[in-house]
Amino acid sequence: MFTRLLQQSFRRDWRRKLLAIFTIVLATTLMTALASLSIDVGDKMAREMKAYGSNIKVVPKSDSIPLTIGGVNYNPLSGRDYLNEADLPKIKDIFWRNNITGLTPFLTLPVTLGSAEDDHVPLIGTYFHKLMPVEGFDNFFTGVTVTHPFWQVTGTWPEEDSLDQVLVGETLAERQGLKPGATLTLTSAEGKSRNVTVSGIVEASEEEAGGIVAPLALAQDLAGLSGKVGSVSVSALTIPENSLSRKARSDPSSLDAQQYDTWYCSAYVSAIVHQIEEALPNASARPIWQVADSEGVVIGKIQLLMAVVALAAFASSAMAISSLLNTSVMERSREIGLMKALGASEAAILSLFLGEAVIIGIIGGLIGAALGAGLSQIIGLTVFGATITFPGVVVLVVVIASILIALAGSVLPSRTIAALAPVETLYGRR
Amino acid sequence: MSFYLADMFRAFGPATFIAALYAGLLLKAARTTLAAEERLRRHLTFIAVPALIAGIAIGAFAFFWADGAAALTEAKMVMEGACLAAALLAILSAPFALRFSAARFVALPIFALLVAILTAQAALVFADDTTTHALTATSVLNTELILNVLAVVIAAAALGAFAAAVSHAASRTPLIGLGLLVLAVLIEAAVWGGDVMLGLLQVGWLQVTSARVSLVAKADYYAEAAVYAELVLALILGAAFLLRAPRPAVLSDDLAGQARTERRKLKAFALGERRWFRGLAAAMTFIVASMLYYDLYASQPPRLSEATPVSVDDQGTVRIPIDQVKDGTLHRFAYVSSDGHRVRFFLINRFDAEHVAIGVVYDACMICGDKGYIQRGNEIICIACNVRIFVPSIGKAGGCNPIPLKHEEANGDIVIAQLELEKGARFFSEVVSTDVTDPVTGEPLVNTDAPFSFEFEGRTYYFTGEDSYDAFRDAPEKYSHEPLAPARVSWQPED
Repeated sequence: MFTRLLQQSFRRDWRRKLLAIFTIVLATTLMTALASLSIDVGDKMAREMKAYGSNIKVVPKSDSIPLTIGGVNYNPLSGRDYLNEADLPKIKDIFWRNNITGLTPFLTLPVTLGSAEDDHVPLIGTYFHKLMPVEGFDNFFTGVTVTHPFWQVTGTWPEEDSLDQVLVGETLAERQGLKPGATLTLTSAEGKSRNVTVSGIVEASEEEAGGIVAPLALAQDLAGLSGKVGSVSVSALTIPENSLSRKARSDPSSLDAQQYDTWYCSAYVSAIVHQIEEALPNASARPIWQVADSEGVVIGKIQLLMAVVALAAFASSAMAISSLLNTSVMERSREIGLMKALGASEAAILSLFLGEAVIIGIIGGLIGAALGAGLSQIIGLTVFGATITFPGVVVLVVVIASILIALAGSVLPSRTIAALAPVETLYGRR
Repeated sequence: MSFYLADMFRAFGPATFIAALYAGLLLKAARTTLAAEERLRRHLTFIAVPALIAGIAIGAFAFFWADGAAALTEAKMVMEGACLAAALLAILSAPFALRFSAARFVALPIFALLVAILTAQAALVFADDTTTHALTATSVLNTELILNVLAVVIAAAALGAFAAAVSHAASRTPLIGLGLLVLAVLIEAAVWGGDVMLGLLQVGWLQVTSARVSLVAKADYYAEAAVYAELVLALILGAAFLLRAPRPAVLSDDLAGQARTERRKLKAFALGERRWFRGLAAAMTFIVASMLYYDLYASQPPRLSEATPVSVDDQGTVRIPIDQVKDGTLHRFAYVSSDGHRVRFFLINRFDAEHVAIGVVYDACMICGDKGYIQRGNEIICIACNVRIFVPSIGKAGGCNPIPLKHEEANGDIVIAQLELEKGARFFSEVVSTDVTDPVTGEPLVNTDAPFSFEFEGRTYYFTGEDSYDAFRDAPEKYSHEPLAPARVSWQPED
């Protein structure tokens, strides 16, 4: 009986139902687009926090003083202080030494190519696959092949510690027309120069694309900084962050003795960072959260704005549904009066209208989710320049939200139903 | 998500059941007409909602106020003492409310009190349970956060439906409802009583005796099962309600007029009762299914792969061919020491097929104990702390790495001396029955049946009687074997 009444209501009054569905579609499209953007970034951040591996960047302490204004680093000490290459094995000597899978030093300096005086390019000195002498590990090979496995080389990697072989970034290679086997003359600001062969073209991140990647020894020689490195990238096997490690990350001294022990003896990235700083006194280490440091900052700031917009959409469409339903209740007042006269309880009549509202909500929500998924891709492309992975949970959230819209819209009509007296409606007085 | 669902039911389920039973008895007490019942139902709902909110606020406040484990124990103790008092008040007032309709003016405030206090206690327990399961990994909205919040909302809705159905069923079968209320309170009283006693022991208001500690331990042990016991009571209530409910009458054509109308009303009533029963059954099925899913499946730790038993050859060594273990997977073995400890160790190739270097280690960690390690894909994981172990480092001490086991390589075999495996006994707590001898009398006995045991220098000794135990304890050096570990040094921290 219940389903038959519902079917009839939809068949007889499909125009108004369509209008109600359309109202909900408008609101949910907006909600889906905003929610999927935010949830996509949130999921990526959560994955990053829950990953079982982390990257840590170690720099000299003076480099870590934040003095960045408008994205430009104004720290006068930046690049003036160095770490000692001889200290690097100390990183493999901390409590969680076995969890350090690799460490790669970097030393960057500007050089000029050949005769072109004005053509400054960055030269990045590093390890490729170097055997590092570490107490207790007889064959600890480390370098970018371990810590940066996404680097792709066309040609061959340079010989470790050689002074005459380099890799060239893909953008630079294209601009200068360099191929593996070409020769270059590199001249540093200190006036030192070296003739080198290009052993390969490297595809890596943005920084390396326009520069030259060389063995660390060559960079040190050109810069006149023997035994010095600018920064170190460390890869470590870690366990996901939790409330204890978050508390420790903000201030290790806020932990009591037992919490400190638990934290120190767990492989949290914050504990490993802390231990690296203990091992290298003049260094500052911090975990690299790629998503959290870029998109996460943007989304975190506009999250409240999104919530307000979504709430406004929710409220306005609930009001629209409310007025639509109210008209339909008034129109069907005789039917309602008849049902009451036959002994239907208020709850039974109300459930009829709520059932309508829920069906409208589900249909509208599903259509809105589909449209919103498309809209979010457009926003993703224009704002972040990348498509977003549509999080499936959004469909669930949006359908629930639209059912709630429909239910919120039925609050007033239900009061109208309660107020209808069978006698009055059947005589046509209302 | 499944944790939040199950824990909501575990924390709030018993409170909901008790409060709903009491509400059902009140409904029965006031029922003179259908309209009066409906009015009271509304009253009860209007009382329950603010009481619920107040209870949650009290519980949350108590949780945030209680900074540290000791304060939390005290807060729980006070809360559970209050629960005991409120539940007792409810049980005492229920018969009067059933008998005299005027008693409901006392019973309604008691209902409000009951709901508020039970909710506050449940909220405190829930807040405490969930500290170890982060609601979210980051402050930005994400899938995990939404699912966890959704789980809480769904659980609250299911509990609401459960409460409505239970109170309806109890109002139809008031005597059974009263009996079940007493039983439900008794079950919870055992749990709360145990906790209160633990609190009193910890605070020092009660003297610690072995009988009291044993009582507290038993209460704590069975506390996990309490919610299932409550659900069994709910099942009994449902069954009683179904038996009491009238069967839907058949409308025959020869009935007419007033009689037919009456029959139709009866049929509508019976169908309505059926609907209530189905609602109760659906809510209970959902609650039981989500709790069982978590308890039997989702919360189970990963299982260790089977350990191959090893035997010692006549030279006192265990030999394992390298070819058998160099495929890069974890090969677990077990050795039973002379005092019955099951010593697990594993072998794994630390590099690849061309560079064979076998790591030989105990299946235990200096920090995490003997929970063991499992292999998932290419990763070796410590079960206890979830750390991924860097495979090339297996065989080296430090961090959460497995404890190295001394061994040699000879003729393509890994050779482990029996003495080394005996030394590993102190890392493992699992004991299997084995034949041992009493070091004092020389009598043979089975270790797991021995009435007395004593640990000395890394070995466990078993005794047939108190006399030999005392003799050994007074002069262990006289009877013991060659030491496996330095004698335990007792260390008193300076306070």
